Amino acid sequence: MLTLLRKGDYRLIETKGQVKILYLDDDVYAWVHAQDIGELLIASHVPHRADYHLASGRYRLYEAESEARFASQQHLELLVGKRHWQGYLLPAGLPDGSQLRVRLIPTLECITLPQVV
Amino acid sequence: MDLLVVAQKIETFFADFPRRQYQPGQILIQAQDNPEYVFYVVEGRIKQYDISERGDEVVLNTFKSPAFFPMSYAITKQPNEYFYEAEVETTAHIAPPAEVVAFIRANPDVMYDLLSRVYQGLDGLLGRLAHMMAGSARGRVLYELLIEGRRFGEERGHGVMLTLTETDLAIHAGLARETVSREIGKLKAEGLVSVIKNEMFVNSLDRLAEVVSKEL
Repeated sequence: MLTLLRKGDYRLIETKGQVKILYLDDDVYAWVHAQDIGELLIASHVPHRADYHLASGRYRLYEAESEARFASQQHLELLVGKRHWQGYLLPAGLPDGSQLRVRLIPTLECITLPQVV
Repeated sequence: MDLLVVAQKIETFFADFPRRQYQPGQILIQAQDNPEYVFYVVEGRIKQYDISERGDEVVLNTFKSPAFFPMSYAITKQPNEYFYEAEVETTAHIAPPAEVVAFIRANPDVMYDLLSRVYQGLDGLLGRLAHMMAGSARGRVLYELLIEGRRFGEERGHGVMLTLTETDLAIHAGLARETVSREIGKLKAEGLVSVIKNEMFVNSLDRLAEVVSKEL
């Protein structure tokens, strides 16, 4: 079962301190690399000043459950070019009040624009 | 041909197959996936859409009770290119395509009814195409309002109420939300529509149809 949970616009910026900040509409997350853990998204509630922009476009957030082709967890997909989406697995979903930091795992799985075999 | 008898026949056929509930946002068929079932909508609404290269949803069709889809795949086996997603809580029966096709072939009245609906849909598509190719943003907004009003409008007095936001309308018309917002502002000033939160009220579909006919 596939469910589209959210869709909208994202922005990815980098601050002067070389921290990547991901905006999903009005929600803000710091995107950091932690040694031995990998990529993490951390809920952020302070304003960030962009040193420069890395990317922006549409995003789609899905929940996959018992689907043969997709891992059973949340999939965040970011449009990174014309008809080109980059997928990330979110085993614990997006950060929220109960979990301020979550893992973000890049994946080749793509729900929005599946590769035609 | 008695349309009620045909509708009853279709309902009876699908009632023998499993009934499923779908939550808003749930995807019934994924783009590039060949569907395992034909879905007969009992209640709710399903949108069929593509995603543009910029990542925008382009809504091509909306199915409500008593529609069944995707018949193009069931009949022609053309690969499916589109997403089918529940817009609201939806109930549908799911039946194997081969059995649905056999049922249609065995019942000429059902086939005729399906053909009528295909032609009605085609008329809508041709109208939309004409407005897209030659019409202004105003014409496209008016045409989408007319289609939505005729298909999904809830009658209230002389007008119809639509559960529709400017964003929804922009997706259907293939326009930017800001453009739709500007055009809706003008239509409000002309007394054609009123906007109440997430709903739009079309004051008169007949008047709207008259305005639309002058737009091409």
